[in-house]
Amino acid sequence: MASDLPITKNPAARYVPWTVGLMMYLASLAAFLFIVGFHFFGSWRHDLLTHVTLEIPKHSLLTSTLSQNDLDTLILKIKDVVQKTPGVTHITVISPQMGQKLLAPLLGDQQIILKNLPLPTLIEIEKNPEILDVSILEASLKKIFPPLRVINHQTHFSKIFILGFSLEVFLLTLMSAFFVTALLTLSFATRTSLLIHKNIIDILSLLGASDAIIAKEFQSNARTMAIRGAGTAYILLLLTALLGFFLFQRHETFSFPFFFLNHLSWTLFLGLLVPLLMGFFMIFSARLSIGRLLKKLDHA
Amino acid sequence: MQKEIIQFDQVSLDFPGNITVFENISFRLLEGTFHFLTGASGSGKSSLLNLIHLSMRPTKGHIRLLGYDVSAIKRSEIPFFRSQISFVFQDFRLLDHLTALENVVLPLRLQGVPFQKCRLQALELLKWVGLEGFYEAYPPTLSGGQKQRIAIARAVITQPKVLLADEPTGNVDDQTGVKLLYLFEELNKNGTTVLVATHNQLLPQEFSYPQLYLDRHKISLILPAEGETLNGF
Ligand SMILES: Nc1ncnc2c1ncn2[C@@H]1O[C@H](COP(=O)(O)OP(=O)(O)O)[C@@H](O)[C@H]1O
Ligand SMILES: [Mg+2]
Repeated sequence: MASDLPITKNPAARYVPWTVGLMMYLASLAAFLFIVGFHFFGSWRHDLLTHVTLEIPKHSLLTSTLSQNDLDTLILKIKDVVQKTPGVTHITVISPQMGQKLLAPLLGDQQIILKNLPLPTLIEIEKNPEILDVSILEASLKKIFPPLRVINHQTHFSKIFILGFSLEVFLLTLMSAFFVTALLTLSFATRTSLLIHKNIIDILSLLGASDAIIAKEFQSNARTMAIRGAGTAYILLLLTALLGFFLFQRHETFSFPFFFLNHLSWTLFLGLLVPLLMGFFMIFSARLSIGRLLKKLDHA
Repeated sequence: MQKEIIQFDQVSLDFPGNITVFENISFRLLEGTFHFLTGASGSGKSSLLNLIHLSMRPTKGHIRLLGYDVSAIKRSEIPFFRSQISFVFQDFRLLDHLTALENVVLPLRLQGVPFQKCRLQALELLKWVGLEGFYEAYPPTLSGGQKQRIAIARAVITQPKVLLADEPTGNVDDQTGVKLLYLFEELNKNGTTVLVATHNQLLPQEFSYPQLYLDRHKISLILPAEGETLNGF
């Protein structure tokens, strides 16, 4: 049926494109956050697996307070052992002075605390997790200096992994929920439209219209709603992207423009394809439910 | 030789609750004929037309339309028969949100004919039924007789082989009713098989056409001139 004959009009369906558009937008957003999360957890995972920190305390029960000289020799000894261990790729020594500098910006005008803070010396080791056995390294280092603490970040990995994994699962669930809601909204609108127009469907059928022709009319309605929904979603996504560029332009931990350019294909994929795919799915499911409902209505 | 266009063979129709409408009725209508379908209210006139229009199924027996046995017809095959067998409904069944013109072109539009291609034909038909100047009128603004005329124009735009009409004079005065029947007569002269149901006993007497008479679940034929009744034809 050509659109120049407005056979079916459903005033109740007027808000459907907006609702559907909002759902598509939220689904895209959840998908985007999923990718951001994936990116962050990926880099954290990498850091945790490839880093070991050695901590040389200033005071300990086992030894008297170390003099600066003793400390320097001790550090050299430790570095020597570490360097000879296979699988170590990089060593960074963070002295208490450097530690103070790192902490200063966090404390603001409470700098006085730093003076009395017994900061340890830290040695950051970057390693190849497949080669380096941390427990062997730890044993040999403890022989040199028993109070030494070896902080193996790999042990935190499982906790972070569970946290990250649950967050990602949550985001996927959220995305599916938006998807299903959009689907149900359109399906519901299509079904009510069919029921509202039962009388008209009967007449068209009595005039010799096949189910296929009647279905076409409702399908084109569903298609229009899905397309309008996708349009709404695109406008919202564009506004959000602009807002993201503006707000996270120079953010320390997360630069949206940088992220966007680095994951251009992903963000474009999600932004463009999620509403499109949802639209296609919705049109397809509307088509199915129209066919089924027409048979069930068993009109004249 | 004329072909049989509608044929009932031992057809029964029951409704739930032990309502019997027809019991083993048989008859045949030849192509190009004109019949009245008469009988008291509730005798089954509308039901018979619905059986021919495939909106009801017989409980028993066989119905042949246009040479095809439709007893076990598939749903998807119904549109073909409805494009050849038109129905003028008692309650018109017009779409209120479409104009007279749009209503008339609807059957062709549903067959995929573009509006511009069927517009002229529809205007001619509306003129023929006497609705010149009402092309853009919406059904709710029109009288029963005018709506009936739109329904007739709509029913014949597909140039059907058979025209069924259920009480077409039911909503109009006698004079208008006779005029409407002249339209059916004209169609019949052009080759359309016509079957007009009416509970009005006087109306058929104005014309010299045979009557299918329904009474007590049975059908009989009343020929015009002799006024005689034939059973089991
Ligand atoms: N859909 C239906 N369900 C049950 N009974 C029906 C239905 N349609 C018609 N009937 C019954 O069938 C009988 C014939 O009705 P109908 O064909 O409308 O007669 P007419 O048109 O001659 O007045 C009536 O008794 C009516 O109550
Ligand atoms: Mg009736």
